[in-house]
Amino acid sequence: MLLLSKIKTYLQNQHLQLDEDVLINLKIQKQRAMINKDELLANELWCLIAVYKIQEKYLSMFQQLKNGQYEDAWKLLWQIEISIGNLQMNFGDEINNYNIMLINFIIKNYEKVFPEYVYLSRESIVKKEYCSICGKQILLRGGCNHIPGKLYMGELCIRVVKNIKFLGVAIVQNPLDKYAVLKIKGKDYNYQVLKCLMSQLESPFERWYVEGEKRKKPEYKNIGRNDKCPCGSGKKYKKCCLNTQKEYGIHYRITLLGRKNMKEREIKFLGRWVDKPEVSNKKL
Amino acid sequence: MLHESDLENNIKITDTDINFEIIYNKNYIPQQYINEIKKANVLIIPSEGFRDDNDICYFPECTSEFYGFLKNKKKIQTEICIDDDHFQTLELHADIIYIATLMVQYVVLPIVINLISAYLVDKVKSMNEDSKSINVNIHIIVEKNGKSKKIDYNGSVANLEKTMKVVEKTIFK
Repeated sequence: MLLLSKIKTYLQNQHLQLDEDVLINLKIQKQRAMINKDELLANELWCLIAVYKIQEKYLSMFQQLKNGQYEDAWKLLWQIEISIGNLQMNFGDEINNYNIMLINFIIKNYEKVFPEYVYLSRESIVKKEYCSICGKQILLRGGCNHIPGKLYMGELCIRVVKNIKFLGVAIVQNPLDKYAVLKIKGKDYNYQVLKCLMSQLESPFERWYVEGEKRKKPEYKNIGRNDKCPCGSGKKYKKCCLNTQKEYGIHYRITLLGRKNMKEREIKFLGRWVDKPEVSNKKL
Repeated sequence: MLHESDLENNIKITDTDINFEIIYNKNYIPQQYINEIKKANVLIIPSEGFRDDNDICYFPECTSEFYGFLKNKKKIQTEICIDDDHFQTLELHADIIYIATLMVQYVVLPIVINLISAYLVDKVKSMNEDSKSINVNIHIIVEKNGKSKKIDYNGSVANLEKTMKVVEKTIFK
């Protein structure tokens, strides 16, 4: 059995591949702490397991991005986001010792270079919920005192929904859960910016960041006041988008840190969608 | 309700006829808890009607946690205007935090605003977001000397406390 102090030191360092024995050890030690009713230790071990899993998912996500498996990487990115949220609620300042906030910083930057996905979002009425810790139904008066998102004897408290009425589905751009990505037949999302970034990155821990600033969109540059408006309304530009916020969009600038003699290189972004390879080939 | 935060920072204050007395007489009020409800200076009230269904009576996601949070605060007396059999939440999976509509006495408004802000700090943290990028949707009906005003806030969590502090001082002036 590995000493907990050794496991902690191991998790505080950056690895390109994680040792599975560390996770097995943590799980065994957590089981023991639960049997011994040592809640403090069991909760700490839950946090360390979460640290291991976040690091593991982050390494997989980087590999998937390198391999061009963007949608799979996106799912992992959101699993990491959610896990970090849970960890922040339970690990206090300790979280700063395990590269988690660095990973958080990097994934938030990755999020910005993914194409603007469109999502499906569920609308439903939740009628009955249960506590994952004690199994009791959630009641307003006289229910259990377990708080969702908090740890109890090494387990995370969540709500289990058992009675739900489905109302509908909405198409949205910013839902809370960003898993249900909507796709169009024959089209792919445009991963041009991400692809270019990944060709430059060699290690998952390489430092880089994205800045966003509002700039005039390319289609609104060099057009006359009396020309047709680029938005497609059919109106004259001067009577439509001229001098409105519609002319502006976020322009992203990616900076790779620690490189020598870097020059600014422009990536022309050609929109959210591109034809799937088989569709493009048919057109040719 | 919206699924996403496409809202600009916005606050609206309007006169309203709704007061504590009107709430006590609503059909959704559980009569077995009417005494506790009448003693409360903060009431959590349901929204009525969603899309084509006018009869539906619901609360936003996480209302049971929010109720538990307020209920534990001794400076205010909070009750929720529903019983367990009729309690249901509308789940939209939005990146906007919806807070259930509150009916409050003016004297406790500053405390309620502080408590909502504290609740949201933890909420945003658990979402692994920062308070500037997450919007909150709040409706508070405030009663003072028989008159009521409704505050509707649609804006960032970061700006909430600052905006509401101004509102609480000027709302009945």
